[in-house]
Amino acid sequence: MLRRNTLLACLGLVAAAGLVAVATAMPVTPAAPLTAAAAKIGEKAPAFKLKDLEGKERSLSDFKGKIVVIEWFSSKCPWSGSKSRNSVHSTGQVAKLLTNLKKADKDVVYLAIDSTARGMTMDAVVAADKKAVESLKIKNPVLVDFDGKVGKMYGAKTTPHMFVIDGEGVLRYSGAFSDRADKNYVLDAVTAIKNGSTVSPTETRPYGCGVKYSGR
Amino acid sequence: MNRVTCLLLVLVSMVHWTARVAQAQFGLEGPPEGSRLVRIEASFATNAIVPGKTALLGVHFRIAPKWHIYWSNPGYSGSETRIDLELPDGFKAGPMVWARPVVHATEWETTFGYDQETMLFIPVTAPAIIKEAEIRIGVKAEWLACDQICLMGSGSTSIELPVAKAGEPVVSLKDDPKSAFAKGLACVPVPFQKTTGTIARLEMADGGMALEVTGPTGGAEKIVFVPDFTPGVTSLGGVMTPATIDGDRYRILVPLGIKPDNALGRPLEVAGVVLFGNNRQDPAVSIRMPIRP
Repeated sequence: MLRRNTLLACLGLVAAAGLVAVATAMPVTPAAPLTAAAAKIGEKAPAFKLKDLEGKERSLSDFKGKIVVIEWFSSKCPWSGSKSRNSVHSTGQVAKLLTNLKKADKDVVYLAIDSTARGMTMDAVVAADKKAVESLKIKNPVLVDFDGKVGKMYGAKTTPHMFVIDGEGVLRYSGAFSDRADKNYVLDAVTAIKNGSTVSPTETRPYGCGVKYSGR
Repeated sequence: MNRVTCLLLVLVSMVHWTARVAQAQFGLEGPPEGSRLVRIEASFATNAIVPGKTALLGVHFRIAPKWHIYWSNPGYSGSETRIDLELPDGFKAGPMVWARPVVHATEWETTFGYDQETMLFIPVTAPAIIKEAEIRIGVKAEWLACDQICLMGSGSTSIELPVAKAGEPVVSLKDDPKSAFAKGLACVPVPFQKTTGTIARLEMADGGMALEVTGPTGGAEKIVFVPDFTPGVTSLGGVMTPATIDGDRYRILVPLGIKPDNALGRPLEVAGVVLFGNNRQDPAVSIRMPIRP
């Protein structure tokens, strides 16, 4: 009888606890703003050396003299490497951009960098990226920035977040992949650099999932 | 069953129950999918469309526990919530009227958006002459919902409204303070020009332009300025700028970076909201001022 009473009391507590839990609002506390020491337009782009998915090291200096486009990438983001109707990869926007970039400059280099590694091992990041590359038929190299140092040097906030570096190694564009309609800022920047004209705009607001860095 | 076992059962059940309630409410029995994380419902400011008049259409977003969607400026990352209307011929709509955002701050990033629920509005202007007795407005919304991961979602709904005859009185939902519409509207920031004692001005500071906002605290202890998205004009004070409080007044100074080439063809302006607390219903003041380079 005692056991039965204890059990009933316990079930009563369970029910009450459930009701309290439902009624409790999630507290949100403002914190200090995040300020990243990011690469600046008109200045030398930060040098980096990262491994691609096959383990081959690639550094920015390998592409000296060429225009380099960098796309911050995540296999987990529906704007980026996760299949969705908004993904710049699964909707064919990157493939179209690559075709148009090659028309503007046959030597242009296109790299993707993945700095999203929070709660993951290096092997897990590589495996997830390989799966995304295969399923989305991604042609460009994907480099893994497991500790997030390169992403933080560039101030990469979202996936995608695009950067264009000219042949002198100077950062000329940072921001969105496109205006989410017909205008592709990356193509405009590469075309302007190739033609020796002014890049405009040099900065736009990137959109997409936040880069989930492994730590700060 | 001893007391420790009982307590463990209480805790485990509490977590399980909360999750089950959320799942039942938003249909999350399977893997999370962005479109199931948010429910939308449309309502109109009046019970009938009045030819030639403008009134607000409200879209009520109910968001699954723990998840959030984004304001017009998502902050460090994210993507703004979008609403598209399918309007009858001759109708016009926009621009969107945003409820004040809530600051979502984690160890890694600070973003601005909405959790639990919010209502966003779009002014709809009817043509002077409407032949139909009833009209239908289609509503499509798209959002990025984030918790530990981000998922794209979308939803659609519609609203049918009778067309008011000339001189026919219409009932306004705004007049019913208990309506979801009126409650949602109360969360829209008040333009600083319509407040008492708030002054916003542009000034030169440290060799560059800055926005200065001063005003009464209204008893708020934490006041921040959150910049809106203004191409060509960026806040150099970080993702948001805290106010300094002196007695019953606050002061915010936001250094601005101005690059006309990045304005994407739009007029240069500075815009944002001053948030007096971080609850959805806490007061907020909106700032929007043109900048002449």
